[in-house]
Amino acid sequence: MTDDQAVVSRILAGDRQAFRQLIKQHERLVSHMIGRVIKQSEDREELCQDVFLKVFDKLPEFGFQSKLSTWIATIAYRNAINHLRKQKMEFVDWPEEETWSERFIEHDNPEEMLSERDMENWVMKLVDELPVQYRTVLTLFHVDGMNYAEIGSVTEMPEGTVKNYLFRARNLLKEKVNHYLGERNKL
Amino acid sequence: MKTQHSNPNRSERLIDKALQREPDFMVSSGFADQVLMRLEAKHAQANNLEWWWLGLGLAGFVIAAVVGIVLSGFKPSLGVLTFLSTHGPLVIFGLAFVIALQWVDRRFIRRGASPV
Repeated sequence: MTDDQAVVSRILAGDRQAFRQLIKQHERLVSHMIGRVIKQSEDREELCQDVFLKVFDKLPEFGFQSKLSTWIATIAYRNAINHLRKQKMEFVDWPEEETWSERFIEHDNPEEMLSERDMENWVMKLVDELPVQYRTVLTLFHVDGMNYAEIGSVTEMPEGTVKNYLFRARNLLKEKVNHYLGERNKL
Repeated sequence: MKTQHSNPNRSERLIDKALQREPDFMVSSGFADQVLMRLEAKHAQANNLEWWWLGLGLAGFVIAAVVGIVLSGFKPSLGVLTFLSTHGPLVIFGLAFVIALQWVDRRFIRRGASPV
């Protein structure tokens, strides 16, 4: 029996401390998902709590078809997307038009000369400006270390789409940063 | 799309470093306790609701019984018990059969069921 299976068995047997342990193990993952998808800070903590309440309710149905962390991330992602839909907030299938990408790259460059650390902060802000699906795959891949199959399972996208989104998101960021660095070199 | 490739290695490095940084939002320190408190509150609420439904069901049953008795002019009699008293062995067999079924359920059926 793996550690995850042992924790799940204890939770199903009514052990609340085991559930606390599960929360502690996965709270970072859930906050990454919610934090990346939802921009309104006042909703985030409650949404994270909702995710774990749902995990508790659905745990008897979980049969270890995937890793526990992947399953929890899936619940977090769906909760976040449902929240966006309920609030009628930004949720685009994907802005395919070239104009969107061009606007992203050329507009709103920082005017002052940024230090290396400021540049990192700026790039992080750029990530937040990307469409929801791009932000999600970038976070799951780079921060949570998931592979393409796991990200596909969380977001219900085919693996090919995950790879494509990762490539395009990185490319957009690279174009934007290159654009800024190029402008700066002219000064 | 216009692109000015200025120092691509630097931009790659910057992007990699930024992407590996955790998002700003993190849950508060007492997060697990808050979730457990909400869970307890939810269960208490569900229990209360179950008691309400049970009370409502019992009240409905009593009211229906009273209305039925009044409308049909029902008078209780010990007819069934009188019948049973003359068929003692049948009652004993019935009880033994139910107990045997319970034993088979606990001994063989429930033991095989896995929680996960």
